[in-house]
Amino acid sequence: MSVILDSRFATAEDTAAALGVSDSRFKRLMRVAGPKTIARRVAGPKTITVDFCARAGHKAGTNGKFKLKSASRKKQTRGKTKKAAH
Amino acid sequence: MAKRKKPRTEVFLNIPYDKKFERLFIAYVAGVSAFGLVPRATLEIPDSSRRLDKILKLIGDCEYSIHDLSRVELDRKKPCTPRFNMPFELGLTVAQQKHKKKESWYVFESNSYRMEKSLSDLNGTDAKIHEGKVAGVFAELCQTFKRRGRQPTVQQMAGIYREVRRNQATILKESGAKSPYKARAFRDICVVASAWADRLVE
Repeated sequence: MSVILDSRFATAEDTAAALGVSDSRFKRLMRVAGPKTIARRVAGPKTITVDFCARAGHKAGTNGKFKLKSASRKKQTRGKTKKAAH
Repeated sequence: MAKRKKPRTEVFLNIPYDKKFERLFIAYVAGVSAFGLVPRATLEIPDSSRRLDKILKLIGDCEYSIHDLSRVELDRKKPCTPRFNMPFELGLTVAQQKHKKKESWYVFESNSYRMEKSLSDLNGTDAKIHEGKVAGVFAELCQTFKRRGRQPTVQQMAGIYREVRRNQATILKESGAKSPYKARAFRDICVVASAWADRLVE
Protein backbone atom coordinates (compact mmCIF):
# COMPACT_ATOMS: atom_id res chain seq x y z
CA MET A 1 0.00 0.00 0.00
CA SER A 2 1.37 3.42 -0.94
CA VAL A 3 1.24 6.53 1.17
CA ILE A 4 0.21 9.68 -0.66
CA LEU A 5 2.30 12.57 0.61
CA ASP A 6 0.57 15.92 0.79
CA SER A 7 3.20 17.72 2.83
CA ARG A 8 5.41 20.46 1.44
CA PHE A 9 8.46 19.27 -0.52
CA ALA A 10 11.35 19.79 1.87
CA THR A 11 14.04 21.98 0.37
CA ALA A 12 17.67 22.01 1.46
CA GLU A 13 16.86 24.93 3.80
CA ASP A 14 14.09 22.89 5.43
CA THR A 15 16.38 19.89 5.87
CA ALA A 16 19.14 22.07 7.32
CA ALA A 17 16.68 23.69 9.73
CA ALA A 18 15.26 20.31 10.81
CA LEU A 19 18.71 18.85 11.40
CA GLY A 20 20.16 21.94 13.06
CA VAL A 21 22.81 22.79 10.49
CA SER A 22 24.32 26.26 11.01
CA ASP A 23 23.96 28.97 8.36
CA SER A 24 27.66 29.12 7.54
CA ARG A 25 27.86 25.35 7.17
CA PHE A 26 24.74 25.40 5.03
CA LYS A 27 26.30 27.94 2.67
CA ARG A 28 29.44 25.80 2.41
CA LEU A 29 27.35 22.69 1.69
CA MET A 30 25.49 24.52 -1.04
CA ARG A 31 28.82 25.24 -2.68
CA VAL A 32 29.85 21.60 -2.29
CA ALA A 33 26.55 20.50 -3.82
CA GLY A 34 26.92 22.96 -6.68
CA PRO A 35 27.07 21.82 -10.28
CA LYS A 36 30.25 20.19 -11.43
CA THR A 37 33.07 22.57 -12.21
CA ILE A 38 35.40 21.15 -14.78
CA ALA A 39 38.85 22.67 -14.56
CA ARG A 40 39.95 24.22 -17.81
CA ARG A 41 42.85 22.24 -19.11
CA VAL A 42 45.40 24.08 -21.16
CA ALA A 43 46.10 21.94 -24.18
CA GLY A 44 49.73 21.54 -25.02
CA PRO A 45 51.88 19.15 -26.98
CA LYS A 46 52.48 15.80 -25.37
CA THR A 47 55.95 15.52 -23.97
CA ILE A 48 57.85 12.65 -22.51
CA THR A 49 60.63 12.93 -20.02
CA VAL A 50 63.71 10.78 -20.35
CA ASP A 51 65.83 9.73 -17.42
CA PHE A 52 68.89 11.65 -18.45
CA CYS A 53 69.79 14.19 -21.08
CA ALA A 54 72.67 12.31 -22.57
CA ARG A 55 70.41 10.54 -25.02
CA ALA A 56 71.82 10.34 -28.49
CA GLY A 57 70.41 12.84 -30.93
CA HIS A 58 68.57 15.05 -28.46
CA LYS A 59 68.50 18.78 -28.88
CA ALA A 60 70.49 20.86 -26.52
CA GLY A 61 68.43 22.74 -23.93
CA THR A 62 65.40 20.42 -24.05
CA ASN A 63 66.06 19.47 -20.45
CA GLY A 64 65.30 15.85 -21.11
CA LYS A 65 61.89 16.50 -22.62
CA PHE A 66 60.92 15.44 -26.12
CA LYS A 67 57.85 16.42 -28.00
CA LEU A 68 56.10 13.40 -29.45
CA LYS A 69 55.98 13.38 -33.22
CA SER A 70 52.28 12.57 -33.16
CA ALA A 71 51.65 15.69 -31.11
CA SER A 72 53.64 18.07 -33.25
CA ARG A 73 51.49 20.24 -35.45
CA LYS A 74 52.26 21.07 -39.00
CA LYS A 75 52.01 24.73 -39.69
CA GLN A 76 48.96 25.31 -41.86
CA THR A 77 49.26 27.81 -44.64
CA ARG A 78 46.48 28.58 -47.03
CA GLY A 79 45.73 30.59 -50.10
CA LYS A 80 47.93 33.53 -50.94
CA THR A 81 50.20 32.89 -48.00
CA LYS A 82 50.81 29.36 -49.28
CA LYS A 83 51.58 30.59 -52.79
CA ALA A 84 53.89 33.22 -51.39
CA ALA A 85 55.61 30.62 -49.33
CA HIS A 86 56.27 28.51 -52.38
CA MET B 1 -3.33 36.66 4.01
CA ALA B 2 -0.35 34.54 3.09
CA LYS B 3 -1.09 30.86 2.51
CA ARG B 4 0.20 28.78 5.40
CA LYS B 5 2.80 26.26 4.32
CA LYS B 6 2.20 22.62 5.15
CA PRO B 7 4.76 21.25 7.58
CA ARG B 8 7.67 19.21 6.27
CA THR B 9 7.55 15.49 6.91
CA GLU B 10 10.32 13.64 8.66
CA VAL B 11 11.18 9.98 8.17
CA PHE B 12 12.91 7.94 10.84
CA LEU B 13 15.59 5.69 9.33
CA ASN B 14 16.25 2.61 11.43
CA ILE B 15 19.24 1.11 9.68
CA PRO B 16 22.45 -0.69 10.58
CA TYR B 17 25.56 1.44 10.86
CA ASP B 18 28.24 -0.67 9.27
CA LYS B 19 30.71 -0.39 6.43
CA LYS B 20 28.96 -2.94 4.21
CA PHE B 21 25.71 -1.04 4.48
CA GLU B 22 27.18 2.33 3.47
CA ARG B 23 25.89 2.27 -0.12
CA LEU B 24 22.37 1.40 0.97
CA PHE B 25 22.53 4.03 3.71
CA ILE B 26 23.27 6.73 1.11
CA ALA B 27 20.57 5.21 -1.11
CA TYR B 28 18.00 5.59 1.68
CA VAL B 29 19.01 9.20 2.32
CA ALA B 30 18.92 9.99 -1.43
CA GLY B 31 15.59 8.19 -1.93
CA VAL B 32 13.87 9.79 1.05
CA SER B 33 15.19 13.24 0.08
CA ALA B 34 13.91 12.71 -3.48
CA PHE B 35 10.38 12.57 -2.07
CA GLY B 36 10.91 15.90 -0.32
CA LEU B 37 11.10 14.21 3.08
CA VAL B 38 13.66 14.86 5.80
CA PRO B 39 15.67 11.79 6.91
CA ARG B 40 16.26 11.41 10.64
CA ALA B 41 18.31 8.78 12.44
CA THR B 42 19.60 7.91 15.88
CA LEU B 43 23.02 9.04 14.61
CA GLU B 44 21.99 12.55 15.58
CA ILE B 45 21.64 11.56 19.22
CA PRO B 46 24.81 11.82 21.29
CA ASP B 47 25.68 8.91 23.56
CA SER B 48 24.30 9.61 26.98
CA SER B 49 22.37 7.99 29.78
CA ARG B 50 19.10 9.43 28.45
CA ARG B 51 19.63 8.01 24.96
CA LEU B 52 16.54 5.82 25.00
CA ASP B 53 14.29 8.77 25.87
CA LYS B 54 15.80 10.74 23.00
CA ILE B 55 15.26 7.82 20.61
CA LEU B 56 11.61 7.62 21.67
CA LYS B 57 11.19 11.36 21.15
CA LEU B 58 12.81 11.15 17.71
CA ILE B 59 10.51 8.29 16.69
CA GLY B 60 7.52 10.25 17.99
CA ASP B 61 8.53 13.35 16.02
CA CYS B 62 8.70 11.48 12.71
CA GLU B 63 5.61 10.93 10.61
CA TYR B 64 6.95 7.78 8.92
CA SER B 65 9.62 5.26 9.75
CA ILE B 66 11.67 2.85 7.68
CA HIS B 67 13.18 -0.19 9.38
CA ASP B 68 15.82 -2.17 7.52
CA LEU B 69 16.20 -5.65 8.95
CA SER B 70 18.53 -6.90 6.23
CA ARG B 71 21.53 -7.09 8.53
CA VAL B 72 20.03 -8.65 11.60
CA GLU B 73 22.78 -11.21 11.81
CA LEU B 74 25.68 -12.30 13.98
CA ASP B 75 28.43 -9.76 14.45
CA ARG B 76 31.96 -10.85 13.43
CA LYS B 77 33.56 -9.28 16.47
CA LYS B 78 33.80 -11.56 19.49
CA PRO B 79 31.64 -12.24 21.38
CA CYS B 80 29.41 -13.00 18.38
CA THR B 81 26.01 -11.44 19.03
CA PRO B 82 22.98 -10.81 16.86
CA ARG B 83 22.14 -7.16 16.23
CA PHE B 84 19.12 -6.23 18.28
CA ASN B 85 19.03 -2.46 17.74
CA MET B 86 16.94 -2.49 14.58
CA PRO B 87 14.24 -4.93 15.81
CA PHE B 88 14.21 -3.12 19.16
CA GLU B 89 13.61 0.27 17.55
CA LEU B 90 10.99 -1.30 15.29
CA GLY B 91 9.23 -2.58 18.42
CA LEU B 92 9.36 0.87 20.00
CA THR B 93 7.88 2.40 16.84
CA VAL B 94 5.08 -0.17 16.56
CA ALA B 95 4.15 0.32 20.22
CA GLN B 96 4.20 4.11 19.93
CA GLN B 97 2.14 4.14 16.75
CA LYS B 98 -0.41 1.64 18.11
CA HIS B 99 -0.88 4.05 21.00
CA LYS B 100 -1.45 6.92 18.56
CA LYS B 101 -3.70 4.67 16.41
CA LYS B 102 -1.72 5.12 13.22
CA GLU B 103 0.44 2.76 11.21
CA SER B 104 3.12 4.36 9.12
CA TRP B 105 6.11 2.11 9.58
CA TYR B 106 7.67 0.05 6.83
CA VAL B 107 9.99 -2.93 7.05
CA PHE B 108 12.68 -3.40 4.43
CA GLU B 109 14.57 -6.66 3.99
CA SER B 110 17.06 -8.09 1.53
CA ASN B 111 15.74 -11.68 1.51
CA SER B 112 12.18 -12.79 0.89
CA TYR B 113 10.53 -14.76 3.70
CA ARG B 114 13.45 -14.22 6.13
CA MET B 115 11.42 -11.86 8.29
CA GLU B 116 8.75 -14.54 8.72
CA LYS B 117 11.46 -16.65 10.34
CA SER B 118 13.41 -14.02 12.26
CA LEU B 119 10.44 -11.94 13.43
CA SER B 120 7.33 -14.11 13.16
CA ASP B 121 5.34 -11.69 15.35
CA LEU B 122 5.10 -9.47 12.27
CA ASN B 123 3.48 -12.16 10.12
CA GLY B 124 0.93 -10.51 7.90
CA THR B 125 3.17 -7.50 7.36
CA ASP B 126 4.66 -7.37 3.90
CA ALA B 127 8.37 -6.62 4.04
CA LYS B 128 9.76 -4.61 1.15
CA ILE B 129 12.53 -6.64 -0.46
CA HIS B 130 15.42 -4.60 -1.88
CA GLU B 131 17.78 -7.57 -2.43
CA GLY B 132 20.67 -5.59 -0.96
CA LYS B 133 20.79 -3.34 -4.04
CA VAL B 134 20.68 0.43 -4.34
CA ALA B 135 18.21 0.17 -7.23
CA GLY B 136 16.10 -2.16 -5.09
CA VAL B 137 15.88 0.46 -2.34
CA PHE B 138 14.77 3.10 -4.87
CA ALA B 139 12.18 0.77 -6.40
CA GLU B 140 10.72 -0.11 -3.00
CA LEU B 141 10.63 3.53 -1.89
CA CYS B 142 8.72 4.31 -5.08
CA GLN B 143 6.23 1.59 -4.13
CA THR B 144 5.92 3.01 -0.60
CA PHE B 145 5.54 6.74 -1.18
CA LYS B 146 3.61 8.70 -3.77
CA ARG B 147 3.61 12.43 -4.13
CA ARG B 148 1.26 14.57 -6.15
CA GLY B 149 3.23 16.92 -8.35
CA ARG B 150 6.87 16.23 -7.69
CA GLN B 151 6.93 12.44 -7.98
CA PRO B 152 10.57 11.34 -8.33
CA THR B 153 11.63 8.63 -10.72
CA VAL B 154 14.16 5.91 -9.96
CA GLN B 155 16.56 7.63 -12.38
CA GLN B 156 16.27 10.92 -10.49
CA MET B 157 16.91 9.10 -7.22
CA ALA B 158 19.96 7.48 -8.80
CA GLY B 159 21.12 10.94 -9.92
CA ILE B 160 20.88 12.25 -6.34
CA TYR B 161 22.69 9.14 -5.09
CA ARG B 162 25.52 9.66 -7.59
CA GLU B 163 25.96 13.32 -6.62
CA VAL B 164 26.01 12.51 -2.91
CA ARG B 165 28.59 9.78 -3.48
CA ARG B 166 30.65 12.21 -5.55
CA ASN B 167 30.63 14.73 -2.70
CA GLN B 168 30.97 12.17 0.09
CA ALA B 169 34.76 12.37 0.37
CA THR B 170 34.66 16.18 0.67
CA ILE B 171 31.90 16.04 3.27
CA LEU B 172 33.72 13.44 5.36
CA LYS B 173 37.00 15.34 5.10
CA GLU B 174 35.38 18.61 6.18
CA SER B 175 33.53 17.01 9.07
CA GLY B 176 36.60 15.07 10.18
CA ALA B 177 34.74 11.78 10.01
CA LYS B 178 35.93 8.47 8.62
CA SER B 179 32.44 7.13 7.94
CA PRO B 180 29.06 8.69 7.18
CA TYR B 181 27.71 7.25 10.42
CA LYS B 182 28.66 10.31 12.41
CA ALA B 183 26.21 13.01 13.45
CA ARG B 184 27.75 15.86 11.49
CA ALA B 185 28.51 13.81 8.38
CA PHE B 186 24.94 12.49 8.39
CA ARG B 187 23.50 16.01 8.61
CA ASP B 188 25.75 17.25 5.81
CA ILE B 189 24.88 14.32 3.56
CA CYS B 190 21.16 14.91 4.15
CA VAL B 191 21.47 18.60 3.24
CA VAL B 192 23.46 17.83 0.07
CA ALA B 193 20.94 15.13 -0.93
CA SER B 194 18.07 17.52 -0.34
CA ALA B 195 19.75 20.24 -2.40
CA TRP B 196 20.15 17.83 -5.31
CA ALA B 197 16.58 16.56 -4.90
CA ASP B 198 15.32 20.12 -5.12
CA ARG B 199 17.34 20.56 -8.31
CA LEU B 200 16.63 17.23 -10.04
CA VAL B 201 13.05 16.32 -9.10
CA GLU B 202 10.50 18.33 -11.03
